[in-house]
Amino acid sequence: MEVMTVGILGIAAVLLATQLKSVRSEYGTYLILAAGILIAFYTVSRWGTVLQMLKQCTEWLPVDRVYVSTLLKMIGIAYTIQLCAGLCKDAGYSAIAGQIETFGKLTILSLSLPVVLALLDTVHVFLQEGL
Amino acid sequence: MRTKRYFAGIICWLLLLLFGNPQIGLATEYVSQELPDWQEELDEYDFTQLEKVIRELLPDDGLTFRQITEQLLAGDMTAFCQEMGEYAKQILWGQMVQGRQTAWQVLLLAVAGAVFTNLARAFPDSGVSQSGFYVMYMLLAVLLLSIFSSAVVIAVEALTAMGRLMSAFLPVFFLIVAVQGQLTAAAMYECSLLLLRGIQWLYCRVITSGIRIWVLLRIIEGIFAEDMLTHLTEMLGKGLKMLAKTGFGAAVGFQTIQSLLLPYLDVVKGGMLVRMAGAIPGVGNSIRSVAQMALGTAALIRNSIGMAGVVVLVAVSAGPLIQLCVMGILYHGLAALLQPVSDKRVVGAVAAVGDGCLLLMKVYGLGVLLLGIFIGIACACFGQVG
Repeated sequence: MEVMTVGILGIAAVLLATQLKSVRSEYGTYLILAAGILIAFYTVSRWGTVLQMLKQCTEWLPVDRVYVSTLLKMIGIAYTIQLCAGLCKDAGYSAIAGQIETFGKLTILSLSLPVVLALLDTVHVFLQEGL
Repeated sequence: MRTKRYFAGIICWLLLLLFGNPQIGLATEYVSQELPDWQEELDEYDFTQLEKVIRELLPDDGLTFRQITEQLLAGDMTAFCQEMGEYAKQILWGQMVQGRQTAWQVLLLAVAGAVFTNLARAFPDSGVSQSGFYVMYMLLAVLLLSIFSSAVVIAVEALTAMGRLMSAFLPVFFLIVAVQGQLTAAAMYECSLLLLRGIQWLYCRVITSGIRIWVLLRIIEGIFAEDMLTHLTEMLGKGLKMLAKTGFGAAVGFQTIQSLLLPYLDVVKGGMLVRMAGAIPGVGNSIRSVAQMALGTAALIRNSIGMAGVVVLVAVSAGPLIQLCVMGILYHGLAALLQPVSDKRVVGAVAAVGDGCLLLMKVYGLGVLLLGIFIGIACACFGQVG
C-alpha cells in the first residue's frame, strides 16, 4: 500500500506545482522539493530492508567487509546524486545538476580506487612468482 | 576434442603400463619355477636410500619400494591393484574437498556480483551499475588469480623435482659411461638425455610462465566491455600448446630415441591390447600411438625392480596430475553453472582458470612421459654399453 501512497503523493505534488507555477513559480519548486524529500524517506526505509539482507550475505562472501561497504556506499551516493540533480533540473538549473552528477561520479571513482590497487598488487605478486 | 584424446591416451597408458605388460606374467612364471627363494636374493639389495626419497615424495602413503617389488615378484596383483586404487582415491577425494571450498567462494562472489549489478540498474543514468560491476569483477579477479597461482605452484614444483632428478642423474651417468670406455656409443645417449633435460626445463620455466600470462590476460580481458585482447589470448594459447607438443615431438623424434623405441614398438604393435584400444572410435588412433610409445618405453624397464620403479614414478606423478585435472573440471563446471545468472565476462574469467589448469595438466603429463623416456634410455644405455 505504500507504493500507492508514494505514487499518489508524487502525482498530487506535480499537479499542485503546475497550478502554482502560473501564480508563483518558486512555490512550485518548494513543493516539488518537499515531495521529493518525503518520497526519499520512504525509499530509505525500503533500502534499509535490502541492506539488512545484503549484510547477512556478506558474511559468506570471501572478501573483506571494507569492499562490500564500498559497494553499498556507491549505491547511496548514486541515489543522493540522482535526487539532487533531478531537483535542480526541475527547477531549471541544469548546470548545477551537471556539476552535482560529475562530483558524484568522481566520488564513486575514488571509492573504487582501493579495489583497483588490490587487483594491481595481486597481479604484481602473480607475475613475480612466475617470472 | 584433441584435449579429450590426450586425457584418454594418458589414462590408458597408465592402465596399460600397470596391467598390460606381458613381462609381468612371464617374470612371475619364471620366478615360481626357477627361483623359489627370491626373498633371500632381494635381501641382498639395499633399498634404504630409495625408501627415504620415496617417503619424502609420498609422505602420507604406506607404499614401500620393497613391498611393491615383492608383490610384483609374487604375482600378487590383487593386493597391488587394491593399494594403488586406494592411493588414487585418497588423492582424488582430498583434492575434491579442498577445491570445493574455493569453488564455493567463487560461486558466491559471482552470484553476489550479479545481484548487486542488477540492483544498481535501478539508477539508470548514474553509471553506478557499471562501476559496481567493475568493482565486483576486480574482487573476483583477485580471488581467481590466487586460486590459479596455487595450481601453477603444484605443476612447477613437480616439474622442478623431475628436472632436478634428471640433472642429478646426468653427471653420474656420464662418469659411468666414460669409465666403461665405449664413448662413441654413449655420446648419442648423452645427447638424448641432455635434450630431454632441456625440454623439461622448457616446460618448467618457459611454458608454465606463458600459461600464467595467458590466464592473466584472459581474466583482464573481462574488464573491457569490447573484445580487446581476444586475438592476443588466442594466439598465446595456441602458441603454448604448439610449443609443448613440439618439444615432446622433438624429444621422441630424436634419432637415437627412435632407434631405442622402434624395436619395442614392433614387438608391441601386434599386441592384442593395443589393437583393442585402437579399435575405439574417435580416440583409437591417439590411444594406439601413445600406448605404443609408452609400452615401448616400459618394455625397456624389464625386470621387477625396474617395474617397481615405474610404479613409484606413476604414484609420485599421479598426485599433481589428479589435482590439476580435478581443478580444471571443477572450474569448467562452475563456469557452466554461472552462465545463466552471471555476465559473460565473469563466466569467461572462471572458464579461463579451468582452461589454465587443464593446460598445466597436459604440460605436466608430457613432462612425466619425458621422465619415463629418460629412465628408459638410461636403462637401455647401461644394458648396451655395460
